[in-house]
Amino acid sequence: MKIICMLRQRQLARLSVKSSAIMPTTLKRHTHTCAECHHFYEDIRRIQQALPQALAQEVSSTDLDNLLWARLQQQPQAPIRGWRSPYPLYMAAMSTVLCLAAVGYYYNNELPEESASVVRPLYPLREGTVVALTPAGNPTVPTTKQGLVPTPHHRRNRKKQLTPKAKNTPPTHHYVVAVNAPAHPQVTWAQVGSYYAAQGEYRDAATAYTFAYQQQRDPRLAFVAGQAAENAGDPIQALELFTQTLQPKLDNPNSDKPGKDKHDETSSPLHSIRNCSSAERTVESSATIF
Amino acid sequence: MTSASMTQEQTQESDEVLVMAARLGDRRAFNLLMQRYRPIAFAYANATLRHKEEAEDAVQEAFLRAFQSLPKIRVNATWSKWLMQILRNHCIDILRHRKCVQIQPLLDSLPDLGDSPEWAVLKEERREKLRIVIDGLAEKYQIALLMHYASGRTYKEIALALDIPESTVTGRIAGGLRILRERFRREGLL
Repeated sequence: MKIICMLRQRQLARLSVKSSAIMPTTLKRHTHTCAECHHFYEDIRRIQQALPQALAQEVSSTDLDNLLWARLQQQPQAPIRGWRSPYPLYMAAMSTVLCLAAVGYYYNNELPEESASVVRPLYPLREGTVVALTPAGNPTVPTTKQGLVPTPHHRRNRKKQLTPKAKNTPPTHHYVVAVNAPAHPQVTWAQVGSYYAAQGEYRDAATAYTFAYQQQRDPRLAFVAGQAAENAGDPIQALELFTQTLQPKLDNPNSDKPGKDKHDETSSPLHSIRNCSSAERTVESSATIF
Repeated sequence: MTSASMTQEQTQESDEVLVMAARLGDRRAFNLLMQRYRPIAFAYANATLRHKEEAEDAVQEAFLRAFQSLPKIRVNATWSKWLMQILRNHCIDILRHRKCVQIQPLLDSLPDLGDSPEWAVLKEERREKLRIVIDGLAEKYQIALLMHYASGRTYKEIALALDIPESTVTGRIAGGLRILRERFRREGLL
C-alpha cells in the first residue's frame, strides 16, 4: 500500500466517525481515483452500520434504580468531616468553653453599650448567625456559630489561604448576632459562602458567593464575593466581581428613563449596602454580644 | 408546587447545586444526580467488565461510595469526573479480582427467544465471531467502540467516562474501525 493511501485511509476513518464532517475535495478526488481507498471507505461505512445491529444493546435492568435507591435509603448520612480533636473529648470541650468565655469577656468589655444592635442579614441567615460590622456600621463577611458544611482539611489550608495582608490587618470590626428567623429554612449559597469565609476558605467562599450572585443577581453578593476572592489572593476574579457590582441592573426600570442620572450616588449598589446596614440596624437590648 | 413540577425544576439545576444539596442531606438531589449519570456509568462499566450483572453491581457500588464520600468533595470539584474516577477504580478492582476467579457470562450467550431457531443460531454465530474479533482489539478501542455502538453513548459522554478529550475518543473509534476492517477481511466477514 502506498504511504499516501495509508494516510488517506486514516483521514477517511476519522471522517467517517464524525457525523457532521464534510469530506475535503482532495480526499474526495483521491477516493474517486484510488480503488483501494474507495473500498476502504465503503467497508468502514458498512461496519459502522452493522455494528449497532450486531452488538447487543445492553440496557441496565429496570430494577437497578429501585435497588440503588433502596440501598441508599439504608445508608446513614455520612458525617461531615470537620474539626478532629487531637485531645480527649472532655479536654476539647473544656478548652472550647474557656475560649468562648475569654472571647465573650473581651468583647463585652471592649464594645460600648450602644453597639448592642441587631442586624437584619442581607440575605436569609440562620438564627444565631454572627454578623461582623465595621466601625462605620457596614456589614462585612458574616460568620456563623453553627457549622453548615465544613470542608475537609480546612484547618490545614487556612494558613496557606490567608494573604499576608489579611494576616497583618488588625480586626477592625465587631460582631453582633442576628436574631431574626430566616425567611427560608433551606440553606442558601450566600450562607454557605459566609461559612467558608468564616473558616478562612476564601476561595470556596468566593465560589459560593458567585453562585449566590448568579441565582439572585444581587450586586451586594457580587461585592462580598469580590471581597472573598481578594482575600483568597485572586485579584483578577475580585476585579471581575467588583465590576459586576458596579454594573447597573438590567431589570431596573429606572435605568431606561432619560432624565435619570446614571451616576446617582443613591442608586449605586455600594450606597445600597450602606443604606441597608444603617437602616436595618435596630437596637434591641436582648441581643447577644460577643 | 406539585412534586412533578418540582422534579422538573430540580432537573434543570446544575450539578454543583445538586451536589451541594446532597451534601446537606437532600437525598432527592442525589437521586437526580444518579438519574443523570447512571446511563453513562452503566455503559462504561458494561464495556469494561463485559458482564451485565457485574456492571450493575459496579454502578451501584460506585454511587454508594460517592454518596458516602460526599463530604470529601470540594465546592469547585467536578462531580461527574469524580464519580467516574470512583467507577473506574472500582472496575479496575473487579478486573484484578477476576484474574483470580474466572467468570463466564452465561446469559449473554443465550439466543433470543423471539427468533426462529435457525435464525437465532446464525445470529448467535455472527455475534460470537464479532465478539471474538472485538475481544482481540486493544482495551482502549474496545471500550470506546462498545460504549458508542452497543450503548449508544455520544463522544462527549465517552470522553467524560474515560477522562480523555473528545478528539481522542474520535481517534480511538476511527482506529478501532480500521483494525476491525482488517480483521473482518482476514476472517472473511467482509
